[in-house]
Amino acid sequence: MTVQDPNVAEANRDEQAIGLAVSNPAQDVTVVSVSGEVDMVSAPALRAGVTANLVDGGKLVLDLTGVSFLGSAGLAVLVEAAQQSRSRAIAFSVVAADRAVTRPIAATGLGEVFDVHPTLDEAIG
Amino acid sequence: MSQSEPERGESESPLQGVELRMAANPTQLSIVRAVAADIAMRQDFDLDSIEDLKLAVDEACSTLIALAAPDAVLSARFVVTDGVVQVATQVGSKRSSPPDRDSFGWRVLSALVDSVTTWVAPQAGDDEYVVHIDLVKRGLVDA
Repeated sequence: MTVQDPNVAEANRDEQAIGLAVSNPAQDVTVVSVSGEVDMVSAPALRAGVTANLVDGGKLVLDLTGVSFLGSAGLAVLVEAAQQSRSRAIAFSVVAADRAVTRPIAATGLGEVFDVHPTLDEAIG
Repeated sequence: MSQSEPERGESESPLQGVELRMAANPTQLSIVRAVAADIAMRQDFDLDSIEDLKLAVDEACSTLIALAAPDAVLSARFVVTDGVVQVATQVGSKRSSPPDRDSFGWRVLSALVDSVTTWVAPQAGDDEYVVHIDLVKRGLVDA
């Protein structure tokens, strides 16, 4: 296969996978913990992981503490999640501690679009 | 035969700095990011600027990969002059259309560097066009 469309990256055996772990620390609270590098290769996996855990009226915390790179493809997933959450009454927030995540969010002004917390405990509140 | 001549638009002087040439495939992005970060660190860029250069180079290369012809080669050349990092990226493309400057990715890219320039040049050969994105990034100077 020589297809290079990032949307079919899951068909690529060389894919650099990101780690996605889902937990429910409280009723109606879902935490998706992400690790690895989120770029155009891995963003579709992140999108799938986020979309699958958006529950109407619930609370979704996306924990990016383990993310070592967050490019625009990943930022776009966060924006989409924030937009979907708004229309479906979902409380959406992001946990970002490391500069690899806080810097791209700050440089693009996206800290205004969704809530960003330095720790998971604070995000769960 | 003209194969020993430099490509049109290329400097005829010897290679300066570092040039990476790779398959225009997104799986190569992590290597380009690592080199970009390393070059910024060696220039004593502050930590935000290191991250910015890494993000910007990723964005430029991702953009070009999306425009690349099948089996095209993506090139990223890094030249450092007086603490300023210049990155020239290019890829062969079947299309003459430049990157979409209204895209989210392009806005991200513009926000991260001191300047960004893109253009498309025709060329002889199978790929027909070369899409260029050039970046300039200065490390933060103490105010």
